[in-house]
Amino acid sequence: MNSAPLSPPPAGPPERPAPLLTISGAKKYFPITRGIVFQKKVGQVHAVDGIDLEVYPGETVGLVGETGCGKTTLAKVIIKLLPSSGGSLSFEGQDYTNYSRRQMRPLRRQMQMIFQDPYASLNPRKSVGAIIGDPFRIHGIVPKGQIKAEVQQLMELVGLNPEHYNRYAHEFSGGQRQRIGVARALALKPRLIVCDEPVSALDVSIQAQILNLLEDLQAEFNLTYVFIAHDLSVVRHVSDRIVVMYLGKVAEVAPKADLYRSPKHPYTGTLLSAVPIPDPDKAQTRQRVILQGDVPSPIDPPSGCRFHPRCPKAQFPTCRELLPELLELAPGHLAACHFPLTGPDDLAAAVAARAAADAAGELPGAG
Amino acid sequence: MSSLIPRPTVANQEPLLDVRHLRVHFPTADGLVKAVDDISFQIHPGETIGVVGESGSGKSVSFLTVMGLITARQARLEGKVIFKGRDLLQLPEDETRRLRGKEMGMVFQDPMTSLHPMYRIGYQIAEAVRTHERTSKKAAWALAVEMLQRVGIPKPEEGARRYPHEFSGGMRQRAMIAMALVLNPDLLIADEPTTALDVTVQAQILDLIDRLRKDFNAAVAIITHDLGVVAEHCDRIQVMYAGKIVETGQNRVIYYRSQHPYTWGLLQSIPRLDAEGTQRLHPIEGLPPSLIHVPSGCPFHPRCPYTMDVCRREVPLPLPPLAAHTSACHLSAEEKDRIFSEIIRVRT
Repeated sequence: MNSAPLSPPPAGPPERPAPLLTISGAKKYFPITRGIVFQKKVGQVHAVDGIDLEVYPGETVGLVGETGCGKTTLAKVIIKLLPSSGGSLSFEGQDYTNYSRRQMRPLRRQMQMIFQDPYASLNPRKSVGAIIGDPFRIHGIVPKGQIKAEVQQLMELVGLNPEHYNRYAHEFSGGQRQRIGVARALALKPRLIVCDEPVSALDVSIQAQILNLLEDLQAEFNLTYVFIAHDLSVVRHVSDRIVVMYLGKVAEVAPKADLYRSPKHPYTGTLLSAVPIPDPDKAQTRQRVILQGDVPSPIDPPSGCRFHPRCPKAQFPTCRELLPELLELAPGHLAACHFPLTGPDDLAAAVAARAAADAAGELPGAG
Repeated sequence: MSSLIPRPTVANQEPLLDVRHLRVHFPTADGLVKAVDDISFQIHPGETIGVVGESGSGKSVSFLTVMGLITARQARLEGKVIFKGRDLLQLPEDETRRLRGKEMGMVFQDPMTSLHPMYRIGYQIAEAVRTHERTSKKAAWALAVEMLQRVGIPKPEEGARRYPHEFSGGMRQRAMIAMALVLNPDLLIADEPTTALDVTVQAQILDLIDRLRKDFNAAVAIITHDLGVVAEHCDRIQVMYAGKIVETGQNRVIYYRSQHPYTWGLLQSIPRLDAEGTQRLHPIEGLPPSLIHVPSGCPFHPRCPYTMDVCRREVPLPLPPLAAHTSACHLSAEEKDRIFSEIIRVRT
């Protein structure tokens, strides 16, 4: 596996602080087994396949990609809810890749997670007070008598009524439940919060409330976020830097403005063009490239560039045989592509050319 | 109410669906849930209408009632649902059953749970055909395969023999659409058809619905909570809140000259990919109201930034009556124009 260079610091002041979180070559494979008594490994799912990423204090890194690209698996690997299959992870220079559960415990205070589904991530048999107060009890950092006061303070902070301390999760709406999840993640005053699709289960109006809340909390507590979402407009709104993933690999990394203004990877280009715009005139005039088909199976990912079977710019045999390296194409802007996009019309032109070639019956390098 | 103003809709033909003063109230242990409370709207042949609102606004319930999936057994129904000249609420159940699937098709939000896991995809589509038409199993199967091809399932013969779990989310939704359209219905109801899907697949499915609407000349109702989704695909949009239609109008009118604070709130809540820089979002404060204790007057008044005294007392009516663009709000038209243009200036 080609190891790509580490992502350089995002554009900003030249003197960057040391990264808070460093991921290098992270891998997570899930075995596929056959047989009940004698389990035989017959293959593996390459969920995360060599990811390098640095996250700096105070920034928000957005992770985007389609279902099955490995973004949630990566989040779980970062938090060590799943053991990684390779690569290394370090937090403030401290390598925690092989830490035991006991060793992880002090680190967990620094790293927390907000989960996607506010209906499944709260214990229905516990009161909200108990759910938010659990981190205090587990880590024993707040004397027992003060837990309630602390929890109520947190509830107020995230916009919940502190009087609802004794209510159960089912008595709250989706948006309020997600606030409970945020309060629980904040309880230990972490430095890093991994947000796994925190708003995708919510209505747009409520989604905006939660996004604003996360923004306010970041400013107040100097939090660092790794923000996972499949909605590019949400990711654009919250992130400073964006990582686009495809089938367990990084396709592109760029500061927000660069990524949306001049995407380099054809996959990023197609993703952007699929985003609905709430403006009928703009929506009609822009060029849309609709990606055909689904994400291939990560059990047996395509050779070479993993995007080549769906890519309008793919050239054969290069893209089928050579794995593209993640290269810096502009300051802070990296892409893993043999033939990166050169301008705003490049992708549409490639699609048109491909359609013309298909019509003429000559599939370039088909097979 | 005089209806002298002609309705400037798609030609002046008979509406396909004419819903008049529909009320759907569910009696529960906690009280009467007013899921749909006096709504009237029409759908004309061949048009696409977007129905937009938050969870609990009554958008799904109103169309489930149109489909005859909510009956007088579960809810108190009032009003009329006139489909091709017949009032569906008065029809006996076996009669609505004959309509459902044949003349109206529905695509549900969650393609994972709306297909039967133990039957082959092809069988489930063929079953819809055989329920309504006297055809051989073989002919129905052939029709299923043809439909799967039309909705873009690669290798349709093979696809028809597969089970739902072997399909991805996008393919299942395609199969659902195939099932809904196999009998060439006049009305296709798509309830949040893309909410569970990725953006790329969402674009595929919406384009597919667009294309099939033209091929089959069906009217389409797309139900969604996201105004972004329907901008490109709908002729007309109707915004619902707390069981009522608060605003309805032609697509461009809703986006460029909206006259209701709730619609403004929805538009301002969406993070925009096309905006310069990033501004702070303006969410609608608070939560949707309980449908048991609907606020007095305008149901939106507790969350509305422009509430006046009259809003607490009087329920606003959709004005002007029967016009193409109506809004149910007490603010004066000039005031609404002024506020909306300010919001637009802030946003872009």
